[in-house]
Amino acid sequence: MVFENLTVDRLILHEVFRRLHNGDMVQPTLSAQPATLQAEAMDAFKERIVDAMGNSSQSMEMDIADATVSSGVEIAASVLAKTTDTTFSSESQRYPTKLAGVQTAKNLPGGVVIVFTGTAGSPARPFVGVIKAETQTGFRRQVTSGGAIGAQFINDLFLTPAAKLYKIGMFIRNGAASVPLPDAWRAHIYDNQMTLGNREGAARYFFESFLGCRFPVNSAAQTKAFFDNTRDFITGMNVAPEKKNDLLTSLYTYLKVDQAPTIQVNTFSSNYLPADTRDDYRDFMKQKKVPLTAIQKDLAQIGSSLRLRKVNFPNSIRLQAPPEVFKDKIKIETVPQKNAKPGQPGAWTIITIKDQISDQE
Amino acid sequence: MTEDEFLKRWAQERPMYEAWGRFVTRRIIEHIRPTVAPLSTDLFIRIPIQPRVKSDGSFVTKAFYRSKPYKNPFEDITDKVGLRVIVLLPSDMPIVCTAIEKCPDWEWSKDRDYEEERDAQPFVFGYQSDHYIVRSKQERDVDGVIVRAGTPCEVQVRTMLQHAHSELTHDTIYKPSVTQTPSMQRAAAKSMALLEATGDYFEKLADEIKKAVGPNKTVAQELEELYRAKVGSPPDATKANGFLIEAYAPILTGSGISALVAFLTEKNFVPEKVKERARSRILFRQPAILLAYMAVSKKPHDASTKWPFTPSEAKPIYTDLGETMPD
Repeated sequence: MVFENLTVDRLILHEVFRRLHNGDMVQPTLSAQPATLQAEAMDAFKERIVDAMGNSSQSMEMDIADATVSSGVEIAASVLAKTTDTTFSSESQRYPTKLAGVQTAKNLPGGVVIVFTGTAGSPARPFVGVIKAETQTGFRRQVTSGGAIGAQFINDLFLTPAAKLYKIGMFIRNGAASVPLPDAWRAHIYDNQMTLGNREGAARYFFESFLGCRFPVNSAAQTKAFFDNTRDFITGMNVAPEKKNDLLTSLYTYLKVDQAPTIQVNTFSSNYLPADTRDDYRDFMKQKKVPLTAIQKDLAQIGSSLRLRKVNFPNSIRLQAPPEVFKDKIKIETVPQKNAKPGQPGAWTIITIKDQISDQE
Repeated sequence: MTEDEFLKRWAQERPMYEAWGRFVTRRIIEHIRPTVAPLSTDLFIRIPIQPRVKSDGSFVTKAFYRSKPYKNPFEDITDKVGLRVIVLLPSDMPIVCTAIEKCPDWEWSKDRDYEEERDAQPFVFGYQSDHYIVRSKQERDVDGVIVRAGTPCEVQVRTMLQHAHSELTHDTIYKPSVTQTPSMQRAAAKSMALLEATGDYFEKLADEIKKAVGPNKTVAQELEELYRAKVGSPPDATKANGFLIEAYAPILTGSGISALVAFLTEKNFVPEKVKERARSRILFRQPAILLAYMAVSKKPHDASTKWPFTPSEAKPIYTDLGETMPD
């Protein structure tokens, strides 16, 4: 619930540019006055933030790695300390200036840099947010004087619902301003590229060089908690054994086969779980303190459990196979036994292995 | 009294009767209001009450040319001003009758009592309506016009079905000036019999609707009170409120409204957000919007599939709660 009760009190727009062919930096355009948004526009702005950062979003809480002078969090603290429009504006310019400096790769696009302050949560906590929003092209409907509908081409749209075109970092202060940096501060980052396969690549400059953050050190533990609790949830579900088998196979697939570098409760549930169980799953994971936002996938602590999936039966009967094989080669069906006598199993299991026996002892 | 004198007096006194008619109308509505609340009286009284004074022509005709022997026609004719209160169901009529009988401003007498008439002649299906004459107990000033004590006004209380029937037949069948043929009377009795049966079916249907909407109605009232208390601005419940209740009331199952109260205590910023948004959006003036907030917070997936309007309209609720809206 970090981003509930969101209010934005100041907001300023600057702009950074792509580097020149020779690698030289282009000076950013800096504003000296905050921008004013009409109520409707402000609503849309807040919607974008919550879409990207809210509960069940793809954002990630990150560790603050750098709190020295000119680090992301240090700039945040000093922006927050400025109380007038003028001092806020000039302090906020440190972000685009820094971004222009660290954005060294020539292929990185420019964009609008929005610095904003406000409060979030209940009780409300102060925050400083930075958005880098790339511009897009689009069309705008235009009625000509004759009444015909025409289209005006626009090439500087930004912050449309196309979230892959923006990155957000937010520093939230949970404690007194006097606490030494970065102890009272939490960092939340949203970057669509973080969830794609290139976490070593292009996007790192944003959260690392620019904002001074790193993936949480407990990612492996979080990944294990995600795996263990999801498995517990599925085994506890009131569904047929075949369905359970399918769902467990999906969990293994999601963690092992899927190439995305992050995992997330909502992504798993909307891809694999039946619609009417998604809220229960979310509640379950929340109770178990598994983050609902994105988790960096780190299999260090669960590698061995992922190597083989096991299905156990009474009398030491065991079926085991690598999860990807489970998905394609094995079919498990349960057959109720109506005439079972007391003490006999109420259902039998038919296992189909889509292959021949290769070897037996 | 000659016709001329009669009409002169009528021209003089007509404003007084008009004023009395207006006064009676207002009083009846005021007395019905607490009984039918929270339903508005405009909805309960199906056709707006319009007090009417007799036209010169019909007054004179009634006084001099009909075979009714009036000793003092001007005084004896009691429907110089009259009004009709038209309700939906037979069971709604006692509410109006009680209001008329309990009002301290007038003396009343019942001219026609359709239940009595029906009991006296169970085989006859005729004109059905309760007729009252209400007379001012004392002289009073109504809108600057002095109304004498004893000024009468006729009040007819009927259902819509009875009204429809009488609109069709009243003038032709029940006035002696018009010929009554047996076939006409038969047709009228037949349709009245049918209407009475229809009235019974209506009652049954209304009863079933009441039973079906009962629980939601209770929730709606509780929500309205809660909205007033927490949000502090006036709610404006429309049909949208019903849709929201239908979608999200199940979240209260088992615990009732207290679960919502607890939710609003935990998320104490929600009423303020609702108040802010209510200024420009009617959806946030629906008391049941509070229920939607609770559903979104507790079950974001379920809440988005059950949202009864276009998805973008739910977005602000998710935003306020810091929840990313499911696709």
